[in-house]
Amino acid sequence: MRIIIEEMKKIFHPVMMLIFVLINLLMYYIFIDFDVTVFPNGRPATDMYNIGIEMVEKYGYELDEDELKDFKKVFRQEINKADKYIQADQEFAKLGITNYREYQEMRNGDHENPAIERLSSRIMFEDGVDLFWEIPERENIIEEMEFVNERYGYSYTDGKLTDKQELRIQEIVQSGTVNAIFPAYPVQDNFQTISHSIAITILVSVIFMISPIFIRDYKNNMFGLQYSSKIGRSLFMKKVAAGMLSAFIITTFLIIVYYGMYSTNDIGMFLESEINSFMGSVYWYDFTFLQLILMTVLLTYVIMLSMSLLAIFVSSICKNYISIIGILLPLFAVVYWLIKTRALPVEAFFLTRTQWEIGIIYSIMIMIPTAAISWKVKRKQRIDITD
Amino acid sequence: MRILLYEIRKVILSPVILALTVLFLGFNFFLIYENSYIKDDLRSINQLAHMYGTEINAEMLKRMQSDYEASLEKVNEITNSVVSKKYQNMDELYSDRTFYIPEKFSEKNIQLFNNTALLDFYYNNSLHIEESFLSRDPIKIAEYELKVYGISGPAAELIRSQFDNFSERYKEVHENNEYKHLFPAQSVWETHLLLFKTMFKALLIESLILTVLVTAYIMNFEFDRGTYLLTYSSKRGRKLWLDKFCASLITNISILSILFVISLAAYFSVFSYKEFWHVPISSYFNAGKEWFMSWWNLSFIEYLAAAIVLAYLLIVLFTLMTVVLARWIRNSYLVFFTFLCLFGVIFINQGLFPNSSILFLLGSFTPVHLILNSVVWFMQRAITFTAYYEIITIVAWFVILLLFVMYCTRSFRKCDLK
Amino acid sequence: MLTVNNVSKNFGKDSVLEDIQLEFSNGVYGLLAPNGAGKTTLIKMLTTLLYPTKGEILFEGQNIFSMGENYRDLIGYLPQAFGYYKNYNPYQYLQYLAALKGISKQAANNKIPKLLKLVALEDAIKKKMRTFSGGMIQRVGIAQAMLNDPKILILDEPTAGLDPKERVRFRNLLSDLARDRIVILSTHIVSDVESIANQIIMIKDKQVLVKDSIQAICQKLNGKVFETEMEFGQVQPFREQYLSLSERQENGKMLIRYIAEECSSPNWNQVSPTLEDVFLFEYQDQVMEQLK
Repeated sequence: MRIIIEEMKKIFHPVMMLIFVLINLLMYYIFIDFDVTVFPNGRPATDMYNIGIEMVEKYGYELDEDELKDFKKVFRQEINKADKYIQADQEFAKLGITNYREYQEMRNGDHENPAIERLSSRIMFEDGVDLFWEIPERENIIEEMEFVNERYGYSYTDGKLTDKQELRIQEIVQSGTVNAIFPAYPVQDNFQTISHSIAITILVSVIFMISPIFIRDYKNNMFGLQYSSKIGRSLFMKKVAAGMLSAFIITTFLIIVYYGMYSTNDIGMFLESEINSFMGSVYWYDFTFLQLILMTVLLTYVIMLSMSLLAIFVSSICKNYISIIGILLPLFAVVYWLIKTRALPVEAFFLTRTQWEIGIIYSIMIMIPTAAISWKVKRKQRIDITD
Repeated sequence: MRILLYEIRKVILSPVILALTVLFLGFNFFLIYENSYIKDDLRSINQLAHMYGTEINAEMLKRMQSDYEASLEKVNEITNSVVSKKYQNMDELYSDRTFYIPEKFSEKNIQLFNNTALLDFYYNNSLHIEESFLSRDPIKIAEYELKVYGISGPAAELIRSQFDNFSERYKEVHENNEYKHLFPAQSVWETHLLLFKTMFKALLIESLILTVLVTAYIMNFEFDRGTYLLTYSSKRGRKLWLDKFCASLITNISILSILFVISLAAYFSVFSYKEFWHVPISSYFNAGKEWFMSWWNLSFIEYLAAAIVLAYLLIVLFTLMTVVLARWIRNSYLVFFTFLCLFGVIFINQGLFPNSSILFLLGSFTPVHLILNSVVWFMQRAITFTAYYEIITIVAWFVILLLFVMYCTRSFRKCDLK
Repeated sequence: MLTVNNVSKNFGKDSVLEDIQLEFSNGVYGLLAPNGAGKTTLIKMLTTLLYPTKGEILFEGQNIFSMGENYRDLIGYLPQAFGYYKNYNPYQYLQYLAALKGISKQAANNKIPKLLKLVALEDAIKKKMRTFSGGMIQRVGIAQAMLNDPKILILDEPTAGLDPKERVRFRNLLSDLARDRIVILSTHIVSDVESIANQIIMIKDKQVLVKDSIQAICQKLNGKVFETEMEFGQVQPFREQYLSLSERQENGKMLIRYIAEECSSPNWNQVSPTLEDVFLFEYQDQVMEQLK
């Protein structure tokens, strides 16, 4: 353990720590800050979010039939309010609009009418009347719920579903899980972007800190002393352990910091919601939002640890720093792409993602670095230390 | 000269740099391949341009019209015989949902439909091109941009003070008919985005990465290998630092050239621009969301050349920047990451200033902003407000960085080498 | 007792050492050979960094490679160009190596100040090593080698960078230490080992040339080493006839020390041979080549 601590001291070199902090400040500012400070982002995201809260507070985590009726009642009340608003407004009268339905029809029917565009732009953007934002969203929710059998899961799969996908949708609908109240837009979307940004920030930080692990000793001509001391060649394993432990510490620290910031987004009330909701997407698994977050954290760890192991391996075979960067850069690009498109939950567990593909990605991600390191460990036992 | 060659050889023989260059080229080929589905359309557009010329004028429109009408008639004959229907225009045919075109018509007929549709599209858009152009008011667009970026106060005033130039250029484009040319339509094929955003950005970022690696590698080679006591005490002495500096510049420029020549050769061999080399870049067909006319009357090839020159200048600037860093940081690993941080700091510098401050506007006058926005180089935009945005940025940073480099040269000559 | 048994070492196809047969018991051994003769290779095998291509190395009858860390626990090693972290001070550096050597932190805490005092670095204990001179670094290296109170102390060119005063100190220290341990000292500087080595080992043509006490080795040249004075003009033809060992100007003439089979002139003074004479004699081909 003492050797591991000594090795970790070298990893957490003050200059490295300084740049580590700088990298994180910058990446936070460029990639994460926006999704933390601006949530929900504009309209109708804010309205959707507010309706979601209202629903969870009123109906709990599921919307049953009675509650749907109640929701419709609220919807009708809102329309009545909108009607009153319209009747009170002179400009609507000028255009001959007397209630919300007429207003809606005119908007849908007559795109070219500049007067109506001007008017709706005034009430939506300038005055920002909540009613006119919320009503379409409520209408949407009601429609999604009423047509759940016909529409759920189809909207974003082009209607071409495999039997397995079909079955999964059926399962969710029939078990009633689909009644879950979970405003995927904007809650899930926000989580998706932010979890990507966090993962990538941690990835850069971890790779930066861990990569010099062996080359630092090589450059300092330490090999002769190290491998002739009592610990001998087993130092290699100790150093790998030190690297992995450091990667774990860095990852944990950054996850706490960044997810701590994420927690200021006020999504606490949805943590218990099922994510397979009529208001959202279809997943292969029955998770609550909290479980989805925990899975994301777990897989973030897997990615970070496997990439650290790979970085450790690269560090042990490289003779100069430029080679390390040159080799790790394309690998980083691949993992970046994986994180952005498929490797993390939200999209990893989507109905559109075949689960064996995700399995293969993670198997490769775990197996290649492990195999490389064990090859290196075995080799290290046998070869001459000439450096 | 010999020293220079030896210095360059050190990096050229480094397998990592070679491998990365090859990998980057492979990636660029992939980008081209991924977008190659538009190449047949581009060939058709070239044929069209070949037939009618690229300049839109009354005579050309007339020819187009008669051809279009003849072609449409043929189409109608065919549709009449197959589905007993006639159409006013191609849109109507394509939006007819009562049958499925590939099922009812032969390959040859579909080809005719497509050609007619293309002719239809180009004829109708050419016919209304003046209206469309006039409907885009540069001042209005600029005001909208101000609103989007939330720019106010002195900054907004500064931009507004340039509005005369905005309109003047707009008038000029209108009068000299720069906008009245055929070009692969941005709204459909997005070739400007493909070339100047996707390809250029990839090329620029790739060269940037290699630039930083190469420069850090060359500048710190002797410190890395522990040969610095030998080399800097040789007859050449500290001047070797300047040789290394030149070697970095030459290598970076060469790598950029290799990447550009090979990638662009591949690009233009896949995507045909045969008829469009001399079409003004401000052709209204080339207008996109973020741009619709350039500050200068440039043909496509001139614009491309200008963009390439700018790319070279940027790489030189970033070489200077890395040289300065490598002067003070002898570990090339840290040079690379410090460069990334510096890049990030320059990128976010505008966040330090309120949106009303002129400094906020000047904050975008950096090579970092330039390298990330190749798609709007030389284009009229509110946020960069002057026609000389690129030139000012490049010149100003050249001066600053050259001063830094000179300071570094002097300080290196005088520094202790332990 | 450390035994090197028929050890050969090849790097790829190049053979560096062949059939080396050596035995070490307590005392100072001087490993004397010109550069490139394979000293460092032999030493790296003794420290388990290199594996013999053929043969075995035994400590108390056990193969040192199968003894593994039990063997390495017994050795102290100062490599020729050894590494250190510039931003560490000697204390941190020795603590780090103590960890590698399996010495407890408390034990190391007690030991480090003593060792640094021994190498006269007690004032620099908290100074970053980047500020150290070559000699100071070398002394930290010596301290490092003695950290685990080794039974076998292996020093590769240990006096490089030490000034004459430090050398003397160092030699005394080694004689002291060698009473109850094996000290193997590799060098090509004859004076380093002349006064303290119990035995000298010379390697030539990939093999052990001699392993004997200094006296016995010098015996070889007894009666063959002479000194004489001559005019400068005579030196060149003389050199072609005899192996010149050293030359220096004295009283406007050249005083020359050389080897000859027998005394053939009354002007010649027979002198007693030194280790340096033997070294130059044995490696004369190389010396000649170097002179050319």
